[in-house]
Amino acid sequence: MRNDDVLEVKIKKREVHFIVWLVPLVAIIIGGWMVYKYYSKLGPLVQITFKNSGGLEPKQSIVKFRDVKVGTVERIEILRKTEGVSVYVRMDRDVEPFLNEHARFWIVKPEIGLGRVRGLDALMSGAYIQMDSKLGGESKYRFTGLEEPPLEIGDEEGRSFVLRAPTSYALSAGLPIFYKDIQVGTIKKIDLAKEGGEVLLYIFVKKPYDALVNRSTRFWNVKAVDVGIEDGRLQVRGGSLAQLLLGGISFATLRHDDGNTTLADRFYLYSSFEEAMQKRLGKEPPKYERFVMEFRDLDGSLRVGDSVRYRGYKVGEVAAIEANVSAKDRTVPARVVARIDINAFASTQDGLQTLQTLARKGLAARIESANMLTNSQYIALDFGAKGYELQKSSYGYRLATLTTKGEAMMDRIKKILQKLENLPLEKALDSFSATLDKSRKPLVQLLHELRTTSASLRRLLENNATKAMPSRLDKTLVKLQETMESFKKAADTYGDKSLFSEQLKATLKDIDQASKALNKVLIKIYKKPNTIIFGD
Amino acid sequence: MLLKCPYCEATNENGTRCARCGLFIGLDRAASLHKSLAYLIAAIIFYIPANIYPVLKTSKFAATHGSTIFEGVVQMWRSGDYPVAIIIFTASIFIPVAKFAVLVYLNYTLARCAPRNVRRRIFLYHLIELTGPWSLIDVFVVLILVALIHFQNIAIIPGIGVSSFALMVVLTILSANAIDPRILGVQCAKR
Repeated sequence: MRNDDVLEVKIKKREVHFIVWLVPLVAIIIGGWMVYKYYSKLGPLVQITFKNSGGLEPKQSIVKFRDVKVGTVERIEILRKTEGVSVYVRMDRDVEPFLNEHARFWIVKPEIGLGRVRGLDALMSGAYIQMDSKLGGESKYRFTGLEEPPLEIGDEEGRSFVLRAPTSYALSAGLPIFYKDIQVGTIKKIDLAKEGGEVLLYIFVKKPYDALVNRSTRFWNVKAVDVGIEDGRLQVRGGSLAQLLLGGISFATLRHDDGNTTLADRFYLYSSFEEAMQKRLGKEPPKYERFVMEFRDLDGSLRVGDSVRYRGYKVGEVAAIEANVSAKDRTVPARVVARIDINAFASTQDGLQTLQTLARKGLAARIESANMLTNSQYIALDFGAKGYELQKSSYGYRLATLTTKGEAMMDRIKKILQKLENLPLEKALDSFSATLDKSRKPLVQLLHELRTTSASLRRLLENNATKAMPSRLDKTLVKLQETMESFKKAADTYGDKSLFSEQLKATLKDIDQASKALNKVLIKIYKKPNTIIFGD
Repeated sequence: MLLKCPYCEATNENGTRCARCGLFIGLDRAASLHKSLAYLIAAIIFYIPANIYPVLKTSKFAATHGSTIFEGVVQMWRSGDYPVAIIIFTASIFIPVAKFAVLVYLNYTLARCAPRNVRRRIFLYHLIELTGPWSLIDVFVVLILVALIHFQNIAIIPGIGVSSFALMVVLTILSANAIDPRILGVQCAKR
C-alpha cells in the first residue's frame, strides 16, 4: 500500500451541515403549505337541530349547496333538554358568507312513490343535508333544520300560490302543475287549513309561466279519466299517460290582462275542468257555505253530490242527507245539507246579504227531477215560501222548503198523453190521403215525364255520338232542370212526409244512374277535352 | 484505533479518511448531529399532514369519504376489530412517535456530549435501525389496497396523508442512519 497514491479530498464540513439543513426547510415549506391548505379549507362548525337525524352518518354525510359538497357532518348529538338531535357540520370556508339568517337546511332522503322519485342521489350516497341560502344578512352558526323542503328554493325562479279545495282530490306533494298540458310547476305541500274545513295546496309555478297566473286564473284537478254524461252524451276524457297515472293540477287564465296576484290571493281548486269552466253566477272564486233544508217527504233519488240550482245555474251541491222514517204518517222527513256558493249571489254586496234579501222574498228549496230516465234529481232554489230571515244553525243556514213537484210531473205527463189520445189523428190522416188521391194524376204525369227525360238523357250519354254533345247536353240539362223544378213544386205541396210511390223511386234511381253516367263523361272530358270535338 | 471503512471495508489504522477509497471515516460528531437533527425535524413536520389528511379515501358510488390514521384506528376499535386496530395503532402511531422520542433523546445526548448510558443508547439505536425497514408497512398496505380494489363504483384512493407518512418514514430512516453509533460513546474532545 502506497500512501502517496491516496488523493486527499478536501471537503468542507460546514458546507455539508448547511445542505443538510435544507431538508427540514423544504419540509417546513411543503408541510406548512399542506397544513395551511387543510386549515384554510376548514370552515366554521355549524350546529343544526333536527327532529331526527334522518339517517345521517357522522363523518360521512355531507351538506350540499347548489349541488356542491360544502360540508361534512362531524358528529350527531341527541338533545337532552328538548326533543331532537343536534347535528354538527364542518362547513367549507367558501360558503361562510352564505351561513346567515337566510340559510335553510333540510335532510334529503331518497323517496320513491308512485310517479315520483325524489332524492335519487341520496339513494347512492345516503341521506344528506341540503342547504339553501343567499348572500347578505347577519351571519349565524346555529340553525334549526326544516322538516320538509321549503316551498321556494332560492335558485329556482318562480312564484308560489295557495289553492283552496274542499278535499285534496288525492293529490300529493310533488305532482305536476300543467298549463295547456305543459308542466310548469309542482305541488309543494298539501296542508289542512287551520279550521280543518279546507285543504290548502301550496304550488310553485316556474318562471316565466308564473306570469300566466292572475286573478282570473282557474285551477282544476286533472282527473285521470273523466267520464260523465253531458247533454245526454257520454263524455270520456283522458289526459296523457303521465297525467293518467298521477293526476295533477291544471290551470287556465281567462283574461290575460287581469290584475296581478299576490301570495295572499287564494285560488280555488275546482274538481274538474268542466266545473272550472262552467258558466257561473256571481263572483269568482266560489265561497261555499252550508245550508240546511228540511224536506217533509223525500224519496231516495236525491243523492249526495246532486246539484243545487238557481234558475238553472248550478250554485252548489248536496253535501249530506239525513232521512228517517216517520212512523206516524209513513213519510220520510229528511234533512238535506248543501254546500252553496254564496259568491254566486254576490254582486255589489256580499252573497250572503243577497240571499238574506231573497229569503225575505220567499226563497225556498224544492226537489226537482233532472232526468226522468235516470231518475236523478236536483234542488232548485225557487220562490214561494213566506218571507223569513236566514238563520244559522249548527248545520248551516236554514232554507225554507217547498213540497216536491214529483207527483205533479207525473200528472203532467199523463195529461199530455191524454191530449195525444184526444187528437183527431185519424181524421187528419183521412184528409191527407184524400188530398193525395186528388193530386195523384198530375204527380203521375210529372213522374212519367221525369222518367222519359232521364231515359233520353241516358240514351244520349250512352250513345257515343258526342260531336254535338255540348249543345244537346246543354238542352237536356235545361230540360232536366225544368223537370226537376216542376217536380220540386209538386213535391213541395206534399212536404217531406208525402208517400213516395214506386214510380218516384224508380225515377230517382234513373236520375241517379244518369248522373253517374254523366259523371263518367265529365271525367272523360276533363281528362281528354278534345273528346267533345273528335269523339272518343 | 483501527477503523473499518464502511464502504470498501479496508482497515485503516489512523486518520479520518479511508486509505483506499478516500471516504471520510473519522468520527464527526457535529456532522452526524446536524444531519440527524435536520432529518428528524423534517420527519416531524411531515408527520403533521400525515395525521390530519386522510390516508385512505373510499369512494362508494357517489360518496367519497376519507379517514385519517387515528379515525381509522377508532373506527376499527369501535367495530370490534381489536387486533387490526392494535396493529394499525402500533405501526402507524406508536412506532413513529416512539422513534421520534428515541431520536430526540439520542440527538439530545449527542448535543449535550454526555457519554452516559452508552449501552442503552446503542441498544435504542439498534432498535430504531431494526424497525426502519418495517416502517413503510402502512404505505404498502395502502398501495396494495389501491391496486387491488378498483371496481366500477368502489375505489380506494390514496390520500395526501399516505404520501406525507411515507416521506416521514424515509426521513426518520435517514435521521437514524445519520447517527454514527460509534460516536454515542465518544467523550467530547473540546467543550
